[in-house]
Amino acid sequence: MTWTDLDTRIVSIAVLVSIACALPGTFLVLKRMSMLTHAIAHAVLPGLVLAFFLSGSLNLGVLMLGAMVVGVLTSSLIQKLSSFAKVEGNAAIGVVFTAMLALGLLLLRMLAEGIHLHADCVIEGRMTLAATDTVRFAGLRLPTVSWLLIAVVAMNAIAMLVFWRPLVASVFDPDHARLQGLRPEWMHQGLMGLTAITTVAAFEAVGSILVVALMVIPGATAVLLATRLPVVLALAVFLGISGSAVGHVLAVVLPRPMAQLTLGQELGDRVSDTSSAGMIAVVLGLQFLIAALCLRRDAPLRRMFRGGGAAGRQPGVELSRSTPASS
Amino acid sequence: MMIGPSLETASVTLASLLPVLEFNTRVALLGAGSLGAAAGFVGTFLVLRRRALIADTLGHSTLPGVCIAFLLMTLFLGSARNLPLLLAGGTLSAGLAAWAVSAVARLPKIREDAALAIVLGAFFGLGIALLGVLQQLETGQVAGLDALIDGNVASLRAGDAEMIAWLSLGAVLVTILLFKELALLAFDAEQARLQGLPIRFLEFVQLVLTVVVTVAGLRAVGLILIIALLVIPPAAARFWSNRLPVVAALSALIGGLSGLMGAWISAQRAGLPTGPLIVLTASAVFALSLIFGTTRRRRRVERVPGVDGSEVVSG
Repeated sequence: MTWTDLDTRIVSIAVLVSIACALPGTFLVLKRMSMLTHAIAHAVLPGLVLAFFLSGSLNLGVLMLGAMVVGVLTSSLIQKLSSFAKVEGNAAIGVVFTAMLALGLLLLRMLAEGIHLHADCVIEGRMTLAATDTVRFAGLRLPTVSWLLIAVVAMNAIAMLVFWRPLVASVFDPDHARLQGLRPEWMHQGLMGLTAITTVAAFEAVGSILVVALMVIPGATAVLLATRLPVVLALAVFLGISGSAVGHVLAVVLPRPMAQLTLGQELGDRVSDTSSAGMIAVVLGLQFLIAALCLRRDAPLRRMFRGGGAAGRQPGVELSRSTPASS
Repeated sequence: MMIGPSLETASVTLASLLPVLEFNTRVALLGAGSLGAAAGFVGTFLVLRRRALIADTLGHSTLPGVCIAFLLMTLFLGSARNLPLLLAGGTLSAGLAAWAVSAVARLPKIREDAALAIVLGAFFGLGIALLGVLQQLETGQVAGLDALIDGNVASLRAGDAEMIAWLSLGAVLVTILLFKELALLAFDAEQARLQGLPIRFLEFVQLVLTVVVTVAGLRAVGLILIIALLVIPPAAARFWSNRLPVVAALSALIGGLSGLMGAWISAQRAGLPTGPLIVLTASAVFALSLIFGTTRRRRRVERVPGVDGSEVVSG
């Protein structure tokens, strides 16, 4: 393959998304709310369509605003349904996001027929499109989405650094955090807000499948492999970045030879490449699979990551739970 | 799957029971209505067990199987216009996904929510990657796959609607046969174990039922929205009663009516998407139930379920 400027931009967008997602994503895995990001990524569709319809443009800023409003609304609606109307949590997620998505799809069909905002883009993302739409800022020409993602990464990183202690305490021991006056409810709401904003920004760049894959899979893989939270976060970022790069390369390199091998020369020649978002999700899944296999007692990787490191641990920061890995 | 001549006659009989409408509309209504009722019935137990979201993962996970079936049919049969075979592919990959979810959830430190998201992301990603390849083959039949992703009953064939109806009927019958057992499993798995019920087998049956309904629903509501039919009707029915048999029956009714209404509205004008309309109808019923429902105003203390499982645990 010939590596072009476009490839660099696509990978750089995917890398930025993986950094942005790994931070709230890991906490979502620990708080057992992984499917929320999937729900938000689907539920923002009516917001996108309406913002597009009302503004009459595909201006990224307007679309983002519409989607973010709907994203935050969705997560609070899910909470309201489960706390006030006593709808069971998982069912509340299912009810809210499918209703919103259905509304979005219907609006899309009726209002925005034949325009850029196509359902496929929503599902598969518009990485190629996003990569070609560039803006010069501070002497640097980068895709518009990249600037947005840089802002989200900065926001997430600053929020994590400032609220590290209460955030960690609220994830692992909310009761103790409450006694210490650390306000776990505020941390929960804050995390929901960060998740909604990050999901929408990432969704703009890579589509809804990759959002759930990038938010949850690297964090889950890292949780399997490491014990201390800072290591887990760093590992999640690293896994996201490497998965994005490898996934995109495979999406460009793999399809044609595979197609020629299985479908024969004539049909295979028609195939050039495939969805980068899809392949990145597959690679992230494979990373998880490898990590899960490495967890076997005799696996060397397991000793490397899980052994030692007992010195300097902070209480409450360890990911140990009632069921240790060795059981 | 072979549909024998006797079934085809039955399909004509079933379709003729519906009001006098265009044949295509009748076929669409038959498919969507029976599917909605079955999904509402089966979904009741899923929601009770707090496993509603597994339907989402299973729905998305059908895509790689459907794509591979499409590819194989193009290669060996020359045509990919065989819905039962496409759905068989979807069934296999959804089954694999169900197994993967339970395997991942057994890993240390990973809970079911993460397992659902991981399997969903990886399987759907693979499906999208395969779809990207299929679209470049230019066989001209990939459009048929769109109907499975978005849902579209307008072009449903009588035989296919018939198959959906039989699958739905089968799922409902199995659920009725195992009603007590599934209810006890949902309320109190520990009690069910003590009574010597085959828990693993019941869980397996429940997964199979979910997969069957999911796959049957691909053509009508599409793989992204199919979870709605398994979740919204039970959640809406729950606002009207605390008794499980009532909730299940009401849920089937809401699901069936939503299917009929959605399919009927979408038949009124070309280009109206069936899946979203069915889901929006169900959502409207949910919203009305939320406002006017009778059970949630008087908040009850959680009740211990009777042995026959006839009490619904609130919340």
